Amino acid sequence: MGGIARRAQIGMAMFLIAEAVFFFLLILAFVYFRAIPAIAPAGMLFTAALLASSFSMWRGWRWVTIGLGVVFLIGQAGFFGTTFFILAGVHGLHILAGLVALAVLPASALKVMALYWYFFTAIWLAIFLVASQT
Amino acid sequence: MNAWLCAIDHKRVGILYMLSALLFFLAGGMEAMVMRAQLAAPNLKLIAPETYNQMFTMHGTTMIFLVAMPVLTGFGVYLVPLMIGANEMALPRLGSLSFWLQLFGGVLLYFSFATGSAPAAGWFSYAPLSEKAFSPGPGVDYWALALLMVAGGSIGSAINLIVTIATGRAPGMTMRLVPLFVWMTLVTSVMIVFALPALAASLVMLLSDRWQYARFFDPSQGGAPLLWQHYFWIFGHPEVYIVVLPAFGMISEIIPVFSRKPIFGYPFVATSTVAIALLSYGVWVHHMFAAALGRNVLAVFSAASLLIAVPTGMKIFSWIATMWGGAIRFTTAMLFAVAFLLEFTVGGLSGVAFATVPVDWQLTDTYFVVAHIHYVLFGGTVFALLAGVHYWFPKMSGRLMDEKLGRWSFWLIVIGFNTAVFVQHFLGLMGMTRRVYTYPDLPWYGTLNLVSTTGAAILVFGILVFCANLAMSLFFGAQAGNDPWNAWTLEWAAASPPLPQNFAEIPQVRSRRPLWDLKHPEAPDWAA
Amino acid sequence: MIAWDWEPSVVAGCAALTIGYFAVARKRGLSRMPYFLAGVVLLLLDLVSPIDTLADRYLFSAHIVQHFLLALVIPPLLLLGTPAFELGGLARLERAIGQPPVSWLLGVGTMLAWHIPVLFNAALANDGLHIFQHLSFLVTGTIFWWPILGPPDRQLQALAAVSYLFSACLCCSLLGAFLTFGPVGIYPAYFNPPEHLWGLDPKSDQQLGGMLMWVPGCFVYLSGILGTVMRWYMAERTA
Repeated sequence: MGGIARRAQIGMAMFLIAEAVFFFLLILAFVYFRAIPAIAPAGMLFTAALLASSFSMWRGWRWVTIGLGVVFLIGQAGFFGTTFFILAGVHGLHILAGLVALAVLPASALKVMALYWYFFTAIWLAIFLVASQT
Repeated sequence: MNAWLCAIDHKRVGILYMLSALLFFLAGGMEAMVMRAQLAAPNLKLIAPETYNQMFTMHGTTMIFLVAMPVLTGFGVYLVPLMIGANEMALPRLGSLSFWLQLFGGVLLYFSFATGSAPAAGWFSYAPLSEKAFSPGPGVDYWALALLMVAGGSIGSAINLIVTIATGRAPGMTMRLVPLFVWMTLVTSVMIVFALPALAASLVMLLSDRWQYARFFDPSQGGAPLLWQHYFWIFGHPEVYIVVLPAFGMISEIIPVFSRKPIFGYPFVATSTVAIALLSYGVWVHHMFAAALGRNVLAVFSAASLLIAVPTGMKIFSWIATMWGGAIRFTTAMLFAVAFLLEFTVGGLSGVAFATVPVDWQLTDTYFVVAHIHYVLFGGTVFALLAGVHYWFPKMSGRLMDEKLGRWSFWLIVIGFNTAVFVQHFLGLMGMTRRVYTYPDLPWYGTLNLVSTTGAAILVFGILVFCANLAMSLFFGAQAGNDPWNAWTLEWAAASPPLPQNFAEIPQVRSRRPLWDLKHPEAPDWAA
Repeated sequence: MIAWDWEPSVVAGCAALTIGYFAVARKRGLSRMPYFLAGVVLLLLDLVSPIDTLADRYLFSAHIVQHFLLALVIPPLLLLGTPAFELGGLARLERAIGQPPVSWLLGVGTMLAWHIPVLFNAALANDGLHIFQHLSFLVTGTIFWWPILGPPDRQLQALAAVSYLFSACLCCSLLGAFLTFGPVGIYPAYFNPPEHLWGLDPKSDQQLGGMLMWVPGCFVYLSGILGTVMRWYMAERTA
């Protein structure tokens, strides 16, 4: 059996495929109903925070990533009460779970968590790009 | 007790899955018997219509999500490491978590009975019936939340199996040499990763609707009920192959051993499995032929649905060809395996009938569907499971099951099942609607329903005999030894039951039948 | 009038392909000739038979069929018919565009790009662009299938090949599904054909086109995947 690192990476990759299917269908439903609002300029700031957190993740700065992630989540609160809240909320829940994991897991897990983090940054970018089209 | 509650050893977790599935199987069976009692004669009023709706909803949900998937997962989790020569699953704690998620989901679902409001919108919970307006009680909420947990557990165990098979094979066991049960489990697990999230997305959207956060499916608020159907069946169709492919894997292990011949056409069986997996994502609309979708759409999905019968048919030919010219040994396991071939073929044929749109338009939502699904799911999956239990029980417990009781249970189950379900084809053709708590006194309706109920009673008796066999053999069965069937895959090299670490030393694998090679050094497979 | 359109450049091109094939393959064995010839014949028919007129002026779905053959059916046939040969001077080119990520992008990208309404409609209006469009399908189609059906030492390993084809199938399906369920009217050239054939109004026509791209398209990729898996199993026999 391969080392735990390799097993964890393959496992995380499979998990992210499942999440990709999940979010693809959710986003598709929102596009179908044209229910993704244009994201205000403030939204771009929080998106930038998330992108920056991916950069800090790449550099291995765990607590900077967590900090930037929290900033992003605070920005998400603005969507409460809209239909879009479901999509933003589900994504936000995953970011929150990721932040908790980053805070409590040992350093050896960071490489695998990085995959998770990049993926959910990409999902947010996808939502953002779709929002700018509708 | 603690050893079981905190177990992360794959053999313990596998058995937990099987026990849990058995309990829910009995519950689901009781729900079925309540329905069959209510349907024994026309215009009966043994139970209220609302109760009947809860019965068929819970029966379907239980059997698919709390019986079929968990028991197949359990066999996978138990057998895969042994078959590939590994000492443990790749991610043991994930494996344990997945089991408990699944179990708690089941408990949550059944808790709904205690609230007086079990879900009653059918196992596929179509909108807008499942929306708050038409299902105001908490039943559908329990259903959705329970299934979210079960789906999570399912995805977790699928990931665990994929990583195990990818990284844990014994030296020399390339992907092309794995036992077919392992290959089918791998393909099924990949299918789960791609299909279960669709269910999760649907459930999140349904709960959002019900809790007033959104209007995805409610037409009165601009939603689209059809969207639920699409999304559910994008999950639902791969799901039916998910619950049958591992069963195919079991049959592919059992028939060769009791025919004393290697499987015929291993590459074809393996490749056709990939074909089924891929095609299954392209036929979901055949569950929606009665929704107004436009002729072009119907025609194309009809063609694709006819096509998917081909790879399955290939497998049936392979299994028959394996038996052909072999020295057949009719143990109870083999009896169930051969019966599986016949029953599943019947189910497959009725399924192909549905692929033709005009036929579907007449028969959809009649008892013809009920007959079809029970032939493939009971005659298929459950029969294969019964074969698998008789085959692998000696490995898991160290004792043999009683062959005499086995034969009794086999005949009772075969007679009971076919009596109960075969007549439902005719009831469907005569127009009897499914999911309605009673029916009028039309010609033959009463008689055939009574026949069906009688058959169900015989079936229940057969299942009880089987359970008695299990219990008695567990305590009083003859010692099995490592390899009672003179089989060829690695699990039979381990002790019965296996030691905690499975193998003292991992063998070198050079062919698809490593144990044959060990037992026949003068004529090993790899020298052929 | 829907008739055969024996465009000289097309006939000449197919003749050249055939002659070139015999010239080159004569020395290496002609056992694979049936595949190559089938590909050339299909290419000829695709571009000169009534399907070409139908595609240009009558039916969006016919145009889909034409492109489908150009990109997904004819290149595999041509590649299957090509015997192994020394790359020689072509090796550098092959390394540049025969690499899976590049070949995938060229194949899938071309397919997606030409369906952008601006580009699709422009090709219908301009003959030169239309010929370029057809050539691009043929050429990038051949490049796409190279890591699957090219020389064995340049082929992808089984799992990579399956992922390569599966991901392409997803893209093709998405485009096909979008055309099937999406807004009608993005290709206005088909709104007023000389005649509404076979009772197909523009909406049904677009729907049909989308479905043909989607399902038969998937079928082609599926066949590729299954062929790859079978080939992988058969190789183990001789290993």
